[in-house]
Amino acid sequence: MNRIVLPFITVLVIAYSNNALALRIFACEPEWASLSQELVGELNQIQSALTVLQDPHRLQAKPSLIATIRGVDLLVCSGANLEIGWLPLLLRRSGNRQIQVGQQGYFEASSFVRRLEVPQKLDRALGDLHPQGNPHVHLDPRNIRIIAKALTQRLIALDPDNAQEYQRLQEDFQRRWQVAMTGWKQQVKPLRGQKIVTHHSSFSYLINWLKMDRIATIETKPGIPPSSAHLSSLLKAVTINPPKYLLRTPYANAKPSRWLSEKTGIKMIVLPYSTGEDYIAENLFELFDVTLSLLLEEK
Amino acid sequence: MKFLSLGAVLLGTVSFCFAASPSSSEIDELRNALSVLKSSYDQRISDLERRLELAEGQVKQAEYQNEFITEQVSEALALAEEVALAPNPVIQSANTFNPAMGLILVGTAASQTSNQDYQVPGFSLPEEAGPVDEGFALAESELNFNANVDDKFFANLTFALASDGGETEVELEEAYIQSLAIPGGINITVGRFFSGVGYLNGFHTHTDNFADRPLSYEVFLGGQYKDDAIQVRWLLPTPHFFEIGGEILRGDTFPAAGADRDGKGAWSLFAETGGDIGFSSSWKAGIGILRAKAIERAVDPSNEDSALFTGESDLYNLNFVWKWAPNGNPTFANFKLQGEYFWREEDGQLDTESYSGDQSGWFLQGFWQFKPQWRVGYRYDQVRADNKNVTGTALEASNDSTNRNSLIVEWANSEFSRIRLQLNAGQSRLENDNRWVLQYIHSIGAHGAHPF
Repeated sequence: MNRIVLPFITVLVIAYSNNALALRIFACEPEWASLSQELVGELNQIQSALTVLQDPHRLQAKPSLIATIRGVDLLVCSGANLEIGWLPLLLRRSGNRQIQVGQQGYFEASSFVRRLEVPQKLDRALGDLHPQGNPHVHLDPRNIRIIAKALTQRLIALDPDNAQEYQRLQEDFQRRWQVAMTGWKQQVKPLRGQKIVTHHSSFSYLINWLKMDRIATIETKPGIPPSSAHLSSLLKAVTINPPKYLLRTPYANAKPSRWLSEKTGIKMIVLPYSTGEDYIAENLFELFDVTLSLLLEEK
Repeated sequence: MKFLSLGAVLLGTVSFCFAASPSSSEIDELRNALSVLKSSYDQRISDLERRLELAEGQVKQAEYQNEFITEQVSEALALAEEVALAPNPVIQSANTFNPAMGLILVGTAASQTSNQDYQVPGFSLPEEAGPVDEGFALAESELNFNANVDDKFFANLTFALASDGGETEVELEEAYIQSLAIPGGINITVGRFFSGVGYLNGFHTHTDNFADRPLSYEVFLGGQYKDDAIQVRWLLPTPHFFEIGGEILRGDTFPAAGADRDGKGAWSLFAETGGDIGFSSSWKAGIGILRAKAIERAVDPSNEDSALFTGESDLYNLNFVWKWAPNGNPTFANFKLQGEYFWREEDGQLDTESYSGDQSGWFLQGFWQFKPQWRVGYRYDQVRADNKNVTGTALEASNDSTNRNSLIVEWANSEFSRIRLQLNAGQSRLENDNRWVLQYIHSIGAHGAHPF
């Protein structure tokens, strides 16, 4: 009996000993894990549901996530229906009342900024639309600045004892971010008006920030893989009006853009899209550094 | 500098005059001239100084104004940016608080080689179980509503519209409320819902990978076990996923019957655990027990003179599921392996005779998405019964088990529209029973979240 019970008790003890940390944070997407890391420093423990190679639309409410989310104090997610396929179920299964919708522990990043592409017409014939607009808001650095402020306010509300430290980290982050943004602004002039084709609307905020010109998407309708008829019409369109790049996320299907790239000789670029440990972009600063250097073709 | 040189010239002049030892009147004249000269220079110097001061002031003012304008411009720019990035207004309407509503439409075209009524030797099959109808047929059309009631409760209602011999029947599938705010990882569900015993039992049939339920689900749970009940689940506070739960059920639906013990005729206990293996795979495994009291349960519901069973029906279940997707991203390719084992003991009376039943069954299925829109699946089913004192009834079993092989190909345009073709090679009444089913499953309205 002891052989069964003892390890079990050990597991329980380990679980509870984590309580020494001020706040436990769960980020739905890796970019919010990175932002949280900047804003909480060494104070807290952060876990991310997704890795950068996973499509945030398509996760499942798997057992490990249910177990993780049970004990967290703050959930940081994109919102705007990006996680609609798995987060509501995860929340209900979690038995954790602090992080339910509307509670202080539920932070929806996209609700603090202007969302692009809010559909004028809602009809699934147009694909898997997001009625609240495009949820991939983190690819505009100006949004990061706004969301960081809101997140710090939330951290202070949840953990007022460490308010000064959160404030200090916030100011430090904003200062570094401002410096970085000034640097990016100086680099991006040549990208203005540059024609590109993307796989899905994951880069809309980046394109909007850089004032690039997206002439087409490979997915005709969000969430529906491109048909061969659409691909051949796309091929015609890009032959007449060639874009400089075909852009896609690491989690998007490579086949259609690779095919188009081979047919036309237009360069295909996989942009980092988000962050991750041991990834080409380990934090948000590197995310934009790498993205810009790929677009500007710096070697 | 100028003043210095001027002074030097004056001094030089004065010393020259002295050297020439001039008269006193000449000296006075010189003195006068000198003082005139001096006062006029003083005047001009102070003029110059004033002008210099004025110019300096003007420069300072201009600088100050410049700074002010720059500040104003940058403030205006920041404000413009703030406005441009401000959150979109939330559109409010009378419908804003309507529950999420989803509608599932399912239809089939089927064909079979056997002309007899479907039966699995050694088992009684409740009316709602069994294969899909031959020819063109609508399966259940499902309508689901769900929403958070307030900060502490979630509510869900699902009803199904089914055709039965030309009549349209409305069946209440689920109607439950669930707690959201009990501390300590506890979830309580009350109402009518799918029992937590068995992995597949918790899923709506339209989310299944096959057009029909596994044989063991048909014979042990009537396809899907649901009843009016209370369920308590406790998610343990461990880093690894452990959940235990139990239910007390009314006991009105197969395998229970007759709502014994004043409408508390069945209970269940179950436990689940699961986790990840690297980034690419996740698994879950569970055990469960369902103890049901049956009162006058018809052994063969299609037959009016069927023998009636009264007694205890104890069901045990083991289940597992393993899901794999490259890097945990199921968008292009993924694989799911799933299996369950059932074992049932029944003890009681068949009409007036004493009866004891010993039945078991299992299935194993694999489902593979090899392209974004294409999936194939294979399933193997087996059930066998060893029942005592059942000669002449539907529960009479042979020594052989009943098996079935199923193969399915599915095409999904989007995650909302699926069309599939399934082939079954199995047995009914110990004869070969081969079937094919062509089925569509389309869903409109709100997304349901996908359970693991």
